[in-house]
Amino acid sequence: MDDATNAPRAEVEHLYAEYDHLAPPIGQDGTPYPYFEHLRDAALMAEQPIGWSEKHGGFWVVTSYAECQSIIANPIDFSSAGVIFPKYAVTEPLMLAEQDEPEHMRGRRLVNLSFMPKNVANYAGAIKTAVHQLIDGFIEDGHADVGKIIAEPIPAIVTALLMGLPAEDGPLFDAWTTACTHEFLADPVAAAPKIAEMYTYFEENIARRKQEPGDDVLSQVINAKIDGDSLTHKELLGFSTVLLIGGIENSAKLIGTALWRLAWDIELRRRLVAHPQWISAAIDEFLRYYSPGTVGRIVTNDITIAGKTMRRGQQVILALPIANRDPREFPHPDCFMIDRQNNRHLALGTGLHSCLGGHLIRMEARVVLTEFLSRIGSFRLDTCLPTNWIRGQVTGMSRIPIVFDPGERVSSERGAGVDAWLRHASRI
Amino acid sequence: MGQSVMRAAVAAQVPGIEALCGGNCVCATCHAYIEAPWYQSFEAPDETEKAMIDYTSEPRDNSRLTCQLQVSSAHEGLVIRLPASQH
Ligand code: HEM
Ligand code: HEM
Ligand code: FES
Repeated sequence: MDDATNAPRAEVEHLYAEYDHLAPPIGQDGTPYPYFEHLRDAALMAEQPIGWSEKHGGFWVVTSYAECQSIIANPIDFSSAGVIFPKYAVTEPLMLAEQDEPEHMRGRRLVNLSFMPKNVANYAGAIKTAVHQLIDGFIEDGHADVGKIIAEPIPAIVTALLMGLPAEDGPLFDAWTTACTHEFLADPVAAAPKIAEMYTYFEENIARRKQEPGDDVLSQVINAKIDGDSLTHKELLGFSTVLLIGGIENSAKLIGTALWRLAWDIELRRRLVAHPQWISAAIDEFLRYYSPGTVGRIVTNDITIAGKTMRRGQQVILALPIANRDPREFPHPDCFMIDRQNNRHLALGTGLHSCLGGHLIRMEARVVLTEFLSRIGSFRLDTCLPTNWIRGQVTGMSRIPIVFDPGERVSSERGAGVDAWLRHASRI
Repeated sequence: MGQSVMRAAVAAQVPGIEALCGGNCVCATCHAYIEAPWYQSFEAPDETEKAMIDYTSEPRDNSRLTCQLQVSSAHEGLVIRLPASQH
C-alpha cells in the first residue's frame, strides 16, 4: 500500500477509535454536525465505511448509508438486543425494540394497526388544541423557550392521549423517562424508586383499561387478538414503557431542532409560512438532516462487511445521523432541501423494526409546525440566552430561547394537561 | 420469483413510494391503487395486508401494498396510481 492511501486511512482509524456516540464534540453552530461531516468525509476519502471505536469497551461504528441499511435489514446476523448501548446487566429487554424474531413480530402485529394512519388521524384535533393552548401561555410575553414549552410537552401530551392517561400526568412521564435514561447512568440509586413508581402507575392504568376500555391505543392493544393470541400482562407493561420512552424523547428532539432551525433559517421559514403544504416534506428533511436517534445491534454470526470482520457478540453502532448525510445516497447531503426527491432516510429505521410511531410522528410534527407558524410567523433566537444540544443515543436541540412580536391569546381556557406543563416548565 | 412492484418502483426512482419497512408488510408506506385489468392479475391480499390497507389514509377497492405484489412477464404495461400521502 502506498502512502497516499495510508495517510487518510490512519486518520480515519484514529477518528473511529475516538468516536463516542454519546459525546460527540459540539461545533460553533451549536450542533455535532461539523464533527459528523468531518468523520464522514474522512471515511469517504479512505473508503472505510466501518471502523472500530475504543470507547465503552469497544464497538463497531458504521457511517455509510448502504452498510447501515443492509445491517438494519439483516436480523439474521444482527440481533436487536443491542439497540441501546452501553447498558447495564439489570436492563430488561425493551418490548419490540430489543426483541428478536419470532417474539418481535408476534408483538408487533398485535400493536401495528393501532399506529396506522387512520387511527393516528384521530389524535390530530387534540394535538392542534394543545399546541394553541401552549402558545396562549406565552404569546403575550414576546419570548419563550420553545424547547421547554412546545417540543417537550407535545410528545408527552400525545403519549398520554395514546395511553388514555390524564394529560396532566405529562410532567410525570418526563421525570420517568429521564430516570430511565440519563439519571440511571449518573445515580442508579436515586432513579430506582422513580422507575418503580412508573411500573406501579402502568399496572393501575392497565387494570383500569381492562375494566373500562376507551378509544385509546392502549385499550386497543389490550383487546387486540390475532389467532386467539394477545399480549400478556408483562408485555403490556413493556409496551407502555416503550411507548413512553421511545415516543417522547425522539419526538421532542425532532420538533425542538426544527423550531431552532426555523428561528434562524429565514428563507426556509418564509417558504413554509407561505406554503404550509410543504411542511410534510420539510419534516422528512428535518428527520434526515438532524436524525434524532442512533441505534445499535449485536453480531450473532461472524460476518465480513466492507472489509471488516465482525465477531459474534460484538456491539455495532449504526451512526444514522452520519449515514443520512451520505452523498452516495443523498445528492448535496449537507444542503437542507425540502424538495428532495426519494428522501429514503434511515431516521426511523427500516426493515422489521422500522419505527412503530412513523405515521404518528409525521402527523404530530406537521400539526405542531403548521399551527406554530400560523400563530408566530416571524421569530428569532434570543442570542442573549444559550441553546443546548442534548447528546446521547437520542439527540437534538432542547433549549430554544426565541423572541417575537407579542400576539394575542385565542382562548381563555387552558386544558389541565397544558396547565401542568406550564407549571412544570416554569420550575426548571 | 420476480421482484415486487415496490422494489421495481424504488429502483426506477418513482417518487411517493416510501417503503419504510423495506417490503416486510409492516409499515403501509408502499400503498398504491392498481388499475384494471392489472388489479385482478395479482394474487389476492392476505389477512394482514387487508387489515393494513383498511387503516391507510385513503383506502379504495383497488388498494394494495406494492411490496406484496410480485411482478412477472404477465404484468407488462402495469399502471399504478399513488395516494396523495402515505401517512
Ligand atoms: C422523531 C421521532 C422518532 C424517531 C426519530 C424514531 C426513531 C426510531 C428508530 C430509528 C427505530 C428503529 C430502531 C431499530 O431499528 O433498532 C424506531 C423504532 C420504534 N419506535 Fe420510533 N421514533 C420516533 C417516534 C416514535 C414514536 C412517536 C413512537 C411511539 C408512539 C415510537 C415507537 C417506536 C417503537 C415501539 C419502535 C420499535 C419498533 C419495533 O422494534 O418493531 N417512535 N424508532
Ligand atoms: C433499569 C435499568 C436501565 C438502564 C441502566 C438503562 C440505561 C439506559 C441508557 C444508558 C440509555 C441511553 C441514554 C442516552 O442515550 O442518553 C437508555 C436509553 C433508553 N432506555 Fe433505558 N435503561 C434502563 C431501563 C429502561 C427501561 C425499563 C426501559 C423501557 C422498557 C428503557 C428504555 C430505554 C429507551 C427506549 C432508551 C432510548 C431512548 C433514549 O435514549 O432516550 N430503559 N437506557
Ligand atoms: S414496504 Fe412496508 S408495507 Fe410495503
